[in-house]
Amino acid sequence: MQTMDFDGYQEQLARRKLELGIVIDPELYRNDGSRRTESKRALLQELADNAAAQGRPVRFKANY
Amino acid sequence: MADYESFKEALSLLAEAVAKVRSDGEVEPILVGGGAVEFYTAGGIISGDLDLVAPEAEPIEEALISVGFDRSTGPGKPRRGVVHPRLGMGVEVVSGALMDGNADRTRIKVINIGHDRSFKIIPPEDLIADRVAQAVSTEVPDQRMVAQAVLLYRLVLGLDEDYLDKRIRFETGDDADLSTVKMWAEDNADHGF
Repeated sequence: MQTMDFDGYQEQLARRKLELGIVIDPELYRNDGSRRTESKRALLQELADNAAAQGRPVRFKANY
Repeated sequence: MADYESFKEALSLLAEAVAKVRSDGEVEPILVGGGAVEFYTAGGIISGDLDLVAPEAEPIEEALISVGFDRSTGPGKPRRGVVHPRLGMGVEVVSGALMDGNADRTRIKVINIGHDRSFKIIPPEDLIADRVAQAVSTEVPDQRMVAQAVLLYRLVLGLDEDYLDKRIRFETGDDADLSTVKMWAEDNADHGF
């Protein structure tokens, strides 16, 4: 198996994005949620509820 | 906490939990799904949770709880998975084999993170094949999965295109192949991915 360093690989990918001029619009990639299982929906809902209770934004936007 | 920092910390905790699983003689889980996409896009596409595949869920779930995750139980809570109370990320474990046993396990990557800690991640070719299969599973290709497949194809260096083609063909029942992804990339060159 190939072994990689986390930080080194992330830096490599960030440089690649710059080289290709890729600016990522999250809306283009967001899963529509139609294939999610009930347990996944519940997990994502709990994460959203926890964030709200703690007065912080969720780190993701999800379609349920 | 910034998205990248919380993602990295979640993966660091995962690696710590994996070390416990390994020391207990259990099979290590493999990061797949949205968390793998977030890794391979350097945080470009953010996932709400980490999906893991493992023969059994309990060893890694117990290990994650020991490093700070909480199990969600009780009325209205998800029956599977754990959540981190501060990082805002969850982990869900799917029992079974990577890509139903169809992935070449020698291509699984080991990601070193922190001191003497690592986790395993799905090969990027298998992840792309999975996205392509999802994209073409509907009558009209799911444009979000098309976008993810194209972005991964463009960003990840060192892809084995022969293996990628073979995996796409298998996962889509020959409804698509590598040329499909290249066509999508060309068609969407002006659309930001």
